[in-house]
Amino acid sequence: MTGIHNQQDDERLRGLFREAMPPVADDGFSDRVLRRIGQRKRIRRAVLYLAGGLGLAIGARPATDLLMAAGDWMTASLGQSAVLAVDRFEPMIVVVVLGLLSPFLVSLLED
Amino acid sequence: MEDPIAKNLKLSTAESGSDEELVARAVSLQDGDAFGELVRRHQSRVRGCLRQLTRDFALADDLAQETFVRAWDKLSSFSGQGRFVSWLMKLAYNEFLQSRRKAKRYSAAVDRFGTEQTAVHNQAGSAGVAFSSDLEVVLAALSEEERSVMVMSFALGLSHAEIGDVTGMPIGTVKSHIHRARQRIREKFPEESGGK
Repeated sequence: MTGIHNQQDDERLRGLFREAMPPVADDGFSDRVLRRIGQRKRIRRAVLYLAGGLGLAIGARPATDLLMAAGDWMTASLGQSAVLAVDRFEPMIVVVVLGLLSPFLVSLLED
Repeated sequence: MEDPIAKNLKLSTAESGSDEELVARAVSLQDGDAFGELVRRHQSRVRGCLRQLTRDFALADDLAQETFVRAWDKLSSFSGQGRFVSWLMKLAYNEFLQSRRKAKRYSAAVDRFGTEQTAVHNQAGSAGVAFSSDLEVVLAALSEEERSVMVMSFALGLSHAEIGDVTGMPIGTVKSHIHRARQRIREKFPEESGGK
């Protein structure tokens, strides 16, 4: 008996909810959501590039020092010619390496 | 400028897929059109449900928008187990709970300063509320948990297991909420339930 009652209740309640909850018209809602997502994507990307640039600026000096230390180590183990090669191209190497790495790092952060 | 034929083709492909296919496309290709189709498909249910829970149209739409934005951010975490709509409802329900907590904190702060509370969102009869009076009366007689569970079960057609997943309640609790809500409706509104 309770089962039948419950089934009848359920049917009536479903009817009540159906009547009271007609489909909600979109009225530009979806477009607003997509616009907001687009804005967030743009802001996030800008912040990441800014942070990447800042990181590059901050990291350039320690990276140069690291390279010089590597040069010293190479002097000790390989001789003077290797050091001359590193010294000549040192700033360019740092910029190129960091420049090549930054888009990769930014896209990694973006994901 | 995108080629209109290519754009139409892209849209028609987006419209034809299942929810899971659209999610896969949105995640792997970062396809905004696929996600747009998901939003169009489910906005009515999400907004309808949140309107019933909050009883405030404007707040419900804000929460629905937040739900879809969050869905986009977390889309890759949708495992494909269970229906997409129930995953989406879980996000919507969390947004609702969060807004309720904020509203409570706000009213507590207002009370502390001894000011009269003037902006409680979840009050029946506030501007923008236009529900069928029968349903409003029925829902007003229920506790918040019972109301949530009833809306998900009878309005959205979610299964008990899905409701449990959305609300974080064990299935037994979901069932007992439905049972209690039914009883309360039957007691208060015998003409609604027909269960005399």
